[in-house]
Amino acid sequence: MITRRFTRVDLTNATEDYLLKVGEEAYISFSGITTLPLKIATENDSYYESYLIPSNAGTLNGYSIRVKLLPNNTEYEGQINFTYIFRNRDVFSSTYETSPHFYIGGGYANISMWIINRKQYKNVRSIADSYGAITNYPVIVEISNDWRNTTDEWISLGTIVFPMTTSGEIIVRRLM
Amino acid sequence: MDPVAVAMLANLSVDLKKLNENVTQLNFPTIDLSSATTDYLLQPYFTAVINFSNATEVPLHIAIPADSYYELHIIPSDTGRTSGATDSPIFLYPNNTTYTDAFWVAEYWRNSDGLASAYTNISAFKIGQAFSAIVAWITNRTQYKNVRAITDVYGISTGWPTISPKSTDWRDTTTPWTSLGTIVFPQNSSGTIIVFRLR
Repeated sequence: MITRRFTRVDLTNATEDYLLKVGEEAYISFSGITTLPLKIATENDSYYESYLIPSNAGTLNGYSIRVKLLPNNTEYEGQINFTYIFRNRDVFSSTYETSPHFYIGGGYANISMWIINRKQYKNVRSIADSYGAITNYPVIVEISNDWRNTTDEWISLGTIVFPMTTSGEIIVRRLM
Repeated sequence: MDPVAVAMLANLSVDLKKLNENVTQLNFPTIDLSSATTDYLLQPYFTAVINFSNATEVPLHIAIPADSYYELHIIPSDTGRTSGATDSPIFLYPNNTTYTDAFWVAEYWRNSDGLASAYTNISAFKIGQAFSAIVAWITNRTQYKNVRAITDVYGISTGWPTISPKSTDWRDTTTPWTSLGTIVFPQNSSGTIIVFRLR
């Protein structure tokens, strides 16, 4: 049997940013938190795929508020536009908004995402199952965010901010 | 030496602890096909990388057998904006050609104008529009050939971003798909293409 493999770097207890090389994957385990600094340095012309795998029990109780990715561990007021399409228990709907951060999921979220970091084009796309609110469990949502800034450097992949105390694992693979 | 063999020697990583379990782990042997002039047969768990600049057609130069499966990424380097692109599809031409009305695409999208969808008869796989960041999954079985994609569209007044998932089925259950094909853009485009063979 043949399997494909990334070289794993465990950043669970990292205290400073680590620059992932192409072919490496960062692994981060987290428990009972609302803020998760990824501690991953990023550079111009890099590309990543990432999996956020929650371990919170499936539930209808909680909030459907945003799961955010803050590039460079901060917010950029009015610079990011996002759009998503979703189906929950009640509706099939969509939105198109401006935001200070990347919107990658809602409530508790099981997320696959793709991250492009080029100075002239920065994009985060995700497909997520959201759960943990009365209309969720499951919700299917597809999201795309463009950071409409073609000059600033994205040097730290950033911090994930959850709307509720969240546990799980995240894998970030550098493909380019 | 054959570039496939070079890549194998350079990147093959055998975990000796796993040998008894008959598991061989590969650290993504990578072939740069940016300057290829003939098709290479990408082996399972091999990766092809193609850089392109100001191109409207990018031949992938990847030979594909029946019963193979791929993950494809297009990482554009065209500057983000809401103008300058032609609002027309990005296609994958299998076998580097079109097959008149042999494909159907189901798609929906959300841009600044609203939510919409379509189900259309076309002549190649549709994977994007205008300028696009694309992740796609490609199934090549003679009896079932499909390309699904999740795309961000930009470069047009209603984009930057647009989210646009889509699925195209090639409704031909007899024609062999032997060359992954050519990516055709509606205007000069630049960026990087990564193709993983998963099966």
